[in-house]
Amino acid sequence: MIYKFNRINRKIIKEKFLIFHHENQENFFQKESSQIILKDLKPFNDEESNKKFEEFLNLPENERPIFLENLEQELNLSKNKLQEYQTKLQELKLKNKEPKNTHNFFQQLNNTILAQKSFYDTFSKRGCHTFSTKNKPKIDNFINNISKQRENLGNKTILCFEANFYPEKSNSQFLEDLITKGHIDPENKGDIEIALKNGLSVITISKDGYPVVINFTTDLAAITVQETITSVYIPEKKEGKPSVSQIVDLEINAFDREQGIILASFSESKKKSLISKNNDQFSIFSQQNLDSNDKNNLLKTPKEPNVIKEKQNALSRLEKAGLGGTEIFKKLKKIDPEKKIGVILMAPTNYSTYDNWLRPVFDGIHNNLKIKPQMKCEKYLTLKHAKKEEYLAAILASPFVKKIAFVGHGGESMIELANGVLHEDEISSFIAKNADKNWQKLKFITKETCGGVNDTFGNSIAEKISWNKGLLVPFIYAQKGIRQIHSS
Amino acid sequence: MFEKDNLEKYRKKAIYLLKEITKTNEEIIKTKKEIILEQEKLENNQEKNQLNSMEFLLDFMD
Repeated sequence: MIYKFNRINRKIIKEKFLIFHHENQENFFQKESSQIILKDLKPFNDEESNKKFEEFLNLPENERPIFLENLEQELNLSKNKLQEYQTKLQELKLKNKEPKNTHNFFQQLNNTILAQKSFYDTFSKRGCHTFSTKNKPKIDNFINNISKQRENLGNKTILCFEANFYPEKSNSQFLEDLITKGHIDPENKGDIEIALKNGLSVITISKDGYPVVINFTTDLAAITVQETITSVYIPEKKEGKPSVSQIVDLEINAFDREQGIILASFSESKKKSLISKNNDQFSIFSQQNLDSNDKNNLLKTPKEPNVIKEKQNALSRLEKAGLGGTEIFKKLKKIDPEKKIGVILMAPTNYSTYDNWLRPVFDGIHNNLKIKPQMKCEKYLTLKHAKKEEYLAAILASPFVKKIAFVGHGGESMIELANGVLHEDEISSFIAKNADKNWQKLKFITKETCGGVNDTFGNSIAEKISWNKGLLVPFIYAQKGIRQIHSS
Repeated sequence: MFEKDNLEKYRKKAIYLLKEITKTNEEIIKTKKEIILEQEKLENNQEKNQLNSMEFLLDFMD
């Protein structure tokens, strides 16, 4: 018997044993028990288990209960661990089920940063819907089904109407219909009427919480809207119909339904005027964009008093300006630091502008993303103060950054690039020479509205190195997103 | 006789516990493997999303 067992493949013995053990556990020992069989018939392939079992068999009887207690504890620990892993697995499975492409970085950033000049473009590029004469639905159907339209177009829909969009109805009739159908809060009627009388566009929040833009004129206008604000703010018209240039500085820079905010950037004069007229409304925007964590992050290192003071100043200005960079910062906070996305600011010409306005934001970003000190902005971001080699070396040498978003201030930095502060030839050869496989997925995104500079910069770099080498360095033109910070 | 019964009882328990531990550990290994697969899947998705987003940005900028 012993001989037979020893010659049979262990695996088969184990399987047979387990089946038998499972089916007839109670009777097993009565029928077959003998210490010798048990020794040979080790029920587990697992080496450790076998050892333990042997250990158990060799123990004096009085020590066996303690041994069993330890085993029980071990089992409990294993079970707990298993549960922990199973929970983690479920979480991951859930994450993988989440809809794709809805909340990713660049789209969010795109929602925050706009470089569009036209009001309509602004909205349509951001997933909002503009009805033109080409896709104009019939007025009655449209008014009846406006909620459905929004549903189809998504939560981020803003409805824009062109001037005399429905010539068969006057503006006031159209407005009345929208109010009757509950799409516009009647409380806003008075304001809207004033706006209409003055030939202004209005945005309001309908009862179901969606912003509705009614642009009855061809002029551009945008009003800050927040979910909690139900009234329409209409800039006061002074003399005659305001021109495009007078209103265009109310351009909407960011629209984020997730947070229920539309952020608007204002020119200095317009902002002052808005704040003085409607302080409460404006302060809602400026305050809520910096929570205490943001503040702490922004105020982190360095410790020199003058820098802290500068940062505090910058912070308070940021709070007043309320936005842009902070929003970028917020979005970036959601990125897993392990994903190693770096943000590099193409710094403006004026160092102090950068220092005062932008550094705190980008310090915050970098701190938050746990990018090591050598990747900090000041090391290479100020083009005027950094040698181009250092600048590029800092980017390329960092093992922590696999993807770089060039968040450009706008024209100046690009012009500097074009003017040779960083010459594109040098950039190309440097990157081509130094880029390693970490950069395979980087690529230049070009074609930007940089006052013509983009053609020089973007095309040549793209042609010379990016596409051929498969490098992808997204360049995000953030002129308006950033500009608003230091324009106030 | 009583001692023998006791002995058998302990043996049975030891076998049962070791079997359970082995089973649980196998489950842990299996779950870990699944976690790794899911993580890879997630990373791939994120990667894909980012690439799509860049395409999106390109479109946007065009």
